[in-house]
Amino acid sequence: MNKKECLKIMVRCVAFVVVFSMLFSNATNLLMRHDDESNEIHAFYSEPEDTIDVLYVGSSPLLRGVSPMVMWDEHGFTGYVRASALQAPAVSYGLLAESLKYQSPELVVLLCDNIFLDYDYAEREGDLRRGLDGMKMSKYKLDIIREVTAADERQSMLSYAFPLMRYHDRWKEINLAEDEPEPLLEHSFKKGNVYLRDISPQEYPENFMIPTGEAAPAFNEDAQSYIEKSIALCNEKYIPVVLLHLPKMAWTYEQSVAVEEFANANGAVYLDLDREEYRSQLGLDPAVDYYDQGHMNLTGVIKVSDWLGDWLDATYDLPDHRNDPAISESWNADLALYKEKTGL
Amino acid sequence: MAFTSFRFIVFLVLAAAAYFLTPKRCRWVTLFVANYVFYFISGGKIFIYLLATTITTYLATVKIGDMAAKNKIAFNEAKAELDKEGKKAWKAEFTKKKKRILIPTVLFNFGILAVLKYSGFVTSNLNTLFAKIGIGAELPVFEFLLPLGISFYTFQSMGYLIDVYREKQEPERNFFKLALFISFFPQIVQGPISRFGTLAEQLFRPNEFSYTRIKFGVQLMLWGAFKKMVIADRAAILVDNAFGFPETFGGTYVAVAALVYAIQIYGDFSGGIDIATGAAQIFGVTLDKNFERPYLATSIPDYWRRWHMTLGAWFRDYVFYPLSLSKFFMRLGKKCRKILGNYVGKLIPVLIPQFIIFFLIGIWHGAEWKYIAFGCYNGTLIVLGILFEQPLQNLIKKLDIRTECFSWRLFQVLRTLILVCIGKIITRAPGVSAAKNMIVSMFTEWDMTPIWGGGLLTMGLDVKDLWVLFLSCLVLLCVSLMQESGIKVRETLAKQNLYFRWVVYLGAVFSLILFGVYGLNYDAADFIYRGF
Repeated sequence: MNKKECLKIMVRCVAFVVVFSMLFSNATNLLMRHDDESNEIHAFYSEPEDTIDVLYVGSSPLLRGVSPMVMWDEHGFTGYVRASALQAPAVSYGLLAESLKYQSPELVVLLCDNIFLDYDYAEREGDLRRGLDGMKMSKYKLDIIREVTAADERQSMLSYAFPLMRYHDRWKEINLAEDEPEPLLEHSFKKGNVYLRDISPQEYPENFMIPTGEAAPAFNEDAQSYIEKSIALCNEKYIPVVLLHLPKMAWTYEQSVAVEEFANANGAVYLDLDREEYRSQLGLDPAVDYYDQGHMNLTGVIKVSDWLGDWLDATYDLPDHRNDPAISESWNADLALYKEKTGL
Repeated sequence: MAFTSFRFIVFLVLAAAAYFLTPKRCRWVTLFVANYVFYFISGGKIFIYLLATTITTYLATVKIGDMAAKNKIAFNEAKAELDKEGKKAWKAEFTKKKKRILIPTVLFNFGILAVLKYSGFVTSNLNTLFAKIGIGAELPVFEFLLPLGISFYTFQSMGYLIDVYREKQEPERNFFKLALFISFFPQIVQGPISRFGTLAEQLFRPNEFSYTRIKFGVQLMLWGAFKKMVIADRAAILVDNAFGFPETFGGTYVAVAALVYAIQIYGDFSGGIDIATGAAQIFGVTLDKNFERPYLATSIPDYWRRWHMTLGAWFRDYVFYPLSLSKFFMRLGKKCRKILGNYVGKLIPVLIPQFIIFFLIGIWHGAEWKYIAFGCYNGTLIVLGILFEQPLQNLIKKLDIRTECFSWRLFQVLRTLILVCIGKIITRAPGVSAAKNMIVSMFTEWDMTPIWGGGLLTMGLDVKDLWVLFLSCLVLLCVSLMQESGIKVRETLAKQNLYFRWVVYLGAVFSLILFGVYGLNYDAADFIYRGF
């Protein structure tokens, strides 16, 4: 084979790979299950570097219960929620570590509820994908995938790296004539908050948040370790950490005290919105502000975010960018859309 | 490491890169190392058995080779003084000496296979027998973990040993080269069973990098993966359902399940062989053909000439001929001619070894009664076919049936397919009794209503999957017909325009990605013949 032939073959191979990649990417966009959570996690990458003041990481109570847009509207500091339902502690840590490569926030807020959760990777594939499908490939994502696939050999690294390998049989579910390839969301006006509108009237359980004298359930060791690693990572970068608990019906005083002790021991601030002193300030109406026992609905998220914004601003003296056109232009446009969609 | 896994692709790319980057004289060493790495990471951690087979085969063949060399010199010196009888006696004496090496080695190696694969079956059946006749003793039943590819490498190495014993093959005196021949990774898992004479030279020589050859190899692998992942693994869903619940799926469903199982096992096995052959081709090695469109066979013997050809050839060369040409069968033939007449008597030395071979082929498939039944079923069909061949020819003549036309060929193909499908039911059913019930129900409860009335959709595949299966089978049929009529598909494709070729390649790759049965929504089936 002479040089010319060799070059010809190489050019053809490269061209073939390019065509294949384009088709593969299109097929991925067509068949991938487009989840709001994956979209919101992915849209984070479009935020200009070092423009996010508060980073929120955790699972569904945070996803449903905190709106950075409400806080922008009232206080002018920016924020982004990188949350997904039943987010694995390893995913939370990975998302935090990855986010800190793009942003240098003034504050990190970690949802702490999952510290009690026994997470079984084999049963939580769907939840894992909500978090991971939106993440770009990185060392952090690979670390999570390695951990997941080591724990559950049915799940393959390849299917996380190339989601088409997981969603390939969705050609049976979609309408090829109507559905068009849809890439992951590039920019979000919700800034990671996936709000729900339905109302499910709730009642606080009897003796809610009243000490019972019983011992709190033990922390899950893995979850505890990841939260400790998250706090340590923030400490390394001199970023203060708030361990947050958002309102939900299935929560006890003993759990709250246990997490508070954990936060104190690790140099983090603990904020439990189910504690009486805060609950009374939130103004939540269990009959209208809940989507279900553990999640806020749209009216709930606005009330919680309103109060939380005040608290964060007062406690951490966060910057107000409303007069900084480099940031405010885009955020105001997003706010207008957010208001239009939510009726804020 | 399954052939259809990403790990295998990565392994193959690395092995091929290492092979072609190694200096030419050392390439076989790279291939040898790749084989053992593959064996180790494919779950073959118990490679002591592979080593035992390699070492005993090596020692036995070298010893026989040395004996043969010495014998040749001694014979040449002595032959002037020997008359015809003396030469015969010399030869017999030497054969006896060689047998002293051959028989223990063959027994040792087939003994390993027998103990690991069949001891559980034998002891559990003996225990059942003891219980029935009132003997209180109970033998311990051991279930051993089978070393990867044990049936295939044992047959391959024993074939080589017999060839050396027959002095058809010079012994390989480099232990590592012999180890390479026995463990060549594309074929160790599920064959084909190669002969030293055709494979070894290809493995030992420094094969050059060839873009065209590698391209053809990759294409063959793609085709094999298509047969396995799109056809066989999809068909497996329906088959598993039907054979898993024989009480639910009787009658017509059995016929459908048997046909789909026939498609599944062909896609599975021949797909695996295509991947193995394609992978070998990348290294410049051409493996023996193992399939030749078996479902287009016109008779059962024809079918067995087209299905798992290397196993059939192995049994033919190393069992059938030695048996049928043995003194015992020769004498038996003579006696039978006197008693049963010339026609039948002449056939006896052929029929009994034929039956024995199919009995052995049945056992080779697994340690269960159903496999023995399968062997007996095929043996019986072959024996009946031979016995009634002449009367049937006479009948065809009398009825003035034209045999040189499409309709007759179609009839023959369909008749063979039905007989083959019945055999498939025997191997796939949970047991012999279930197989019998299913076959009976297939012929007695013939009712197409449940199939057209949506019954097909209760067998585990939805409409879209059934369409994919149907269309893929159509593609397979078209390719098979093209090959049957002598068209070389890859060579023909290579002559087409680049754009057309790319459409075909991309279509193949994406049909694999999109329609392949893999991932969490499916329990991907392992290669069936890997377990044999």
